[in-house]
Amino acid sequence: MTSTPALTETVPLLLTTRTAYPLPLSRILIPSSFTRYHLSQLINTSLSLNPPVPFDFLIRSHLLRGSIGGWMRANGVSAEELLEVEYIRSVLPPKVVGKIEQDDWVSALSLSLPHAIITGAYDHTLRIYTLAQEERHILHTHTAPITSVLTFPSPNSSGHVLASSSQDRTVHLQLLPPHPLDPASAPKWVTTLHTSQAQVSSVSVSPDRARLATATWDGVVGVFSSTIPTSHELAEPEDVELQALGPKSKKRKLRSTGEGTGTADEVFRKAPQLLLRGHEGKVSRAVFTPDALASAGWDGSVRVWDLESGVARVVKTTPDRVHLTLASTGPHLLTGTSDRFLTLTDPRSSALTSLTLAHSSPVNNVIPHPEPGMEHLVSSGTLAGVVRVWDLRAGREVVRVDRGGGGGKMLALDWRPAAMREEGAGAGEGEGGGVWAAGGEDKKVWVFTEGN
Amino acid sequence: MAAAAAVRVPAVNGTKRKESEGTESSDGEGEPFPELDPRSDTVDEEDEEDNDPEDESDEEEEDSEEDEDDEQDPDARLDRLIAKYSEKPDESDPTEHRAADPRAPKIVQSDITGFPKKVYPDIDPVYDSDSSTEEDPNRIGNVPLEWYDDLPHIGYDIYGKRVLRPAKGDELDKFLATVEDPTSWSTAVDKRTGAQVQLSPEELDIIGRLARAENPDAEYDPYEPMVEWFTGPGKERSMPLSGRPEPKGRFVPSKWEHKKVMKIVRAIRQGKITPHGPAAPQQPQFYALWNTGDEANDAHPPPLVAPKVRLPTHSESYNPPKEYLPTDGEKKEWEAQDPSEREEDYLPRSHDTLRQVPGYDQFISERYSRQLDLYLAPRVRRVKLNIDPESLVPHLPSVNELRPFPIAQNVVFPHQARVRAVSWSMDGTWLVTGDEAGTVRCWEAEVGKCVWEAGFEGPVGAVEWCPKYDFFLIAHLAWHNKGDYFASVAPDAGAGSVYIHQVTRHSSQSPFNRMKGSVQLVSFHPRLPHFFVATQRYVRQYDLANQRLVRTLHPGLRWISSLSLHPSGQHLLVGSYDRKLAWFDLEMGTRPFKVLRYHSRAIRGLAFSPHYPLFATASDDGTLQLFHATVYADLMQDPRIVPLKILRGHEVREGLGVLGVRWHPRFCWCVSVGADGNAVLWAN
Repeated sequence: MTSTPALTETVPLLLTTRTAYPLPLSRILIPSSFTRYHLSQLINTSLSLNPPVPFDFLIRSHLLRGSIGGWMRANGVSAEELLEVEYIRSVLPPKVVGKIEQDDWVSALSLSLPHAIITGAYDHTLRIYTLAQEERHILHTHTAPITSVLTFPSPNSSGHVLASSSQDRTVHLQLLPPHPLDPASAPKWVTTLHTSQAQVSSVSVSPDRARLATATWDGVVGVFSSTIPTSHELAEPEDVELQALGPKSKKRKLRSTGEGTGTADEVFRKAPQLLLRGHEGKVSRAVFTPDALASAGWDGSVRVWDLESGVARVVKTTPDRVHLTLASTGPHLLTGTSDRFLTLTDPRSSALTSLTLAHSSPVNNVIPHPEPGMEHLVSSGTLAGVVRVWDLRAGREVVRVDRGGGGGKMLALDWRPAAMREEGAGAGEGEGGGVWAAGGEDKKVWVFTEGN
Repeated sequence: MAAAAAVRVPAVNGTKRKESEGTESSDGEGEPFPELDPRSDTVDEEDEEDNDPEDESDEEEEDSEEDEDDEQDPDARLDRLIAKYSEKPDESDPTEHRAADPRAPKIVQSDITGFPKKVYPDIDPVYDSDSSTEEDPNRIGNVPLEWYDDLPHIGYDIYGKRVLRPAKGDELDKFLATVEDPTSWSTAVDKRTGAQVQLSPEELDIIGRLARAENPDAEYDPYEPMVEWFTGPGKERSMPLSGRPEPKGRFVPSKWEHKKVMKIVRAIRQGKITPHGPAAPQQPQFYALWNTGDEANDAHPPPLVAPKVRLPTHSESYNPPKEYLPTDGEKKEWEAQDPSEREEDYLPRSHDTLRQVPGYDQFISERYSRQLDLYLAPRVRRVKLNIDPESLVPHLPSVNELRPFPIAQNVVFPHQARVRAVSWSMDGTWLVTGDEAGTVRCWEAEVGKCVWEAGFEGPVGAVEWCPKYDFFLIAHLAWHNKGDYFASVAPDAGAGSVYIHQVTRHSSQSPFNRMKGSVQLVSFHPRLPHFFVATQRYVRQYDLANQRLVRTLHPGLRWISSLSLHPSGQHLLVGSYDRKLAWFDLEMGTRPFKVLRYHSRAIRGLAFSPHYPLFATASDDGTLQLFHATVYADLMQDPRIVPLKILRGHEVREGLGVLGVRWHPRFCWCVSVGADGNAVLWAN
């Protein structure tokens, strides 16, 4: 008797979306007992999607967890009001699909190359794997632990460019062949980028792929063009490297001489376009925002640099907070801090931070959703090894991956979310969903996919 | 009286009056000066109404003038008073007495002059009228008659001739007379004339009355009936005032009063009395500027305020509302109770009128108990020392105000054996640890990745990163702040236990020829060329430039385990194995400013933070305790030490807990090493 009136009670809804699955914009009456699953099924059946796509629902920046009627009672919304409900493609809890064994701690990961996983490790190597965890290439160019790695489409030729930063004070650019996962065609090391005489903590590429930004441990941010040089732009920094490498210089010499004899193509040293100085400590990361360059470091400051003049346009210093990583999503900047927060900073506002999300361990990886319109989804990884996906609009976590106590410290994380617009981008392999790769102390790269 | 008169000398009459009033001069014994109210003269003015109309008008004029300059000219008023009282008021004038007095003169027109004249009525000479006009031959006056006993005469008449004594019969004649004359018993001798006088029956009656001690007046009746003045029909007194006229004395100025007044007036004229008292000497007007007016000046405590009596309630009314009246059951219950147990000591009762309320039966007992109370419980105001115990506790700021400080375990750096030593690189990126198995590891502090490792044969007791160059040393030693010098300690080496080495010159020297006690620790002063050497019980501060001992500190500890200098160089922390921590203010002397004991086991290590007002102590009880320690530049202000947090993360193994602690050179991070083989990075 009590359930029948609740079933018959209906709520007017206006379902909107920014995903690739729009419904015709109209007011529909939904029973108030509907939950997320019912609504998702409703959209799937009305759009006749096959395979079905799970959706999440946002009502006034609240993520719908229970029934609509329950949400309305909790928030004091009457049934007469027209509720505008936005549906987003839901991020499903990932499941482990594989672990790639490595020789040393994994320090860098990239999923930016389609269908491939690129890893950098403390044993100075870069490795390229397929998503099916088959090793295709091992790159031994670096002489110190890798700190970050990424690929981007080459600006002046077909194929991709692999950029990797290392504690050996350089960033290496290597040209990947058009089919990089073909074991026969090896990547070609073309350029080293020299920023300063300190370790390079990260490298990143601008959205238009025309520029690269490096961050070093001595507080310098370097801006490079992504073109491949045809001659040395810098003198040989051999003395510095010798001093830095110490006993390992012999190996370095051997490798460089072997390279010089083996290939006719010389590796050219590239000079920075711009050196941005201002940080008083290690710069953990420098990333391009849509119109500028942002950097965050261990001096607690987040700086936005004007690339024309080379001066810091915005400096936001949060004392006693060490920024371990930085990411740019839309107009906002996201940093992971050593005092266990994921902070959201708006460079346009005067507030230091506009949102802080507490973690249980230092946050050393922050990866926002790359697609426009989905900037509210952010994946964060902590040193203790917990991967979470946050919805910044609701300010709460959507998905949480705990490696079950195993894995030790997690140093590297990358996330390629499920393609929202290009439907079936990897559907042929059944990998159209999101992919996570995480690695760290246990010398394994954990690969997760969104599963159901 | 003279003093009072002297006091009343007016200041306005600066010169005493000189004019004398002749015979009226007073002896100066002034009566108390009465209130001289000029308005009270109306009766006198009425008296003089009939006689002197002109005078009356004059007086009225004076009066009006007087009203105007009443205050200004006391002399004028005095004159007027004198004029009024120097004339004897006429007592026979009032018309109402004229009718009542039978002896008042009749005013008839004189036949001779034609003017009215007073004719008094004739006086009727009755019995008690004057009899002095009777003929009396003896004119000797009122002299004793026995003077004439021996003389033949008894006196002299008006012409000076002798009045002869009448012949007096002998005793026989007297006897015969008593026998023959029946009236002879009622005769008496008139001594003035010497003749026998026959007493009249009235005189005999008077004598008889006097003999009976009665009133000699025959007319007097002691038992005459009472005249019913106020009772009786028609004479009941219903009004408090009678209709009888006021007696004259009530409103006629008395002659004697007039005389007294005149005496005073004369005294005033002579300046012996001043009407308004002596003019007070002009007091200088000033105020005690700093007086706090609220405070009571006297030393006595203020009188005790009596406790207020509770106001009566409705139930105490003589006719309370019915709901206040007790029922029979309540009455019985009340009566059954012990008086000390009763809530109220009365029962509400109802009376129709207030007149019917009986006397209060508890009056005597209440008074008695009140007296007992006063006698046995004297009221004394006791001054209690009211101290809030909270105020004695030193005010410590909230821990949240003192952020940041390390609160959480961020990174763990594992070893296989007990980690004894830890040190940060100068930029805080690297960390070096040494364990008892002889392993030294260099770590990337951010992620806890071991980047370098070396093994030694013996246990590693100390590692220190050079503050200037990127390398570290492994021994029991201390670096100078500039990074060029370091000191090494070998506790068992006796006199040569301390060496100071210079890196750039590759030279070493032993600064002490002889060393008392075994050296435990050494430390360089951060700014001055001073050097601290801690033996088992004392800490000595040496000036290396002048090669002298600056001071010897006495911590009062049994075995010093650790030493840390504040970055300012002014303060020194000394920890000991007997669980105590001594804070030295180096400016203050050789005794510790404060000795703290809060660890339950021995203190193994302690360190001041180089950038934050913090220090941490590591103990064998497995805890790391964090303290806030603000040091003020003002020498008068003591350092503020606030306990912040106890960090628990190390296990106690074989009685050993946390073995050392070091602060990050820039951040609010510290790393602790423990017997469980871990080095832990604590971050804010």
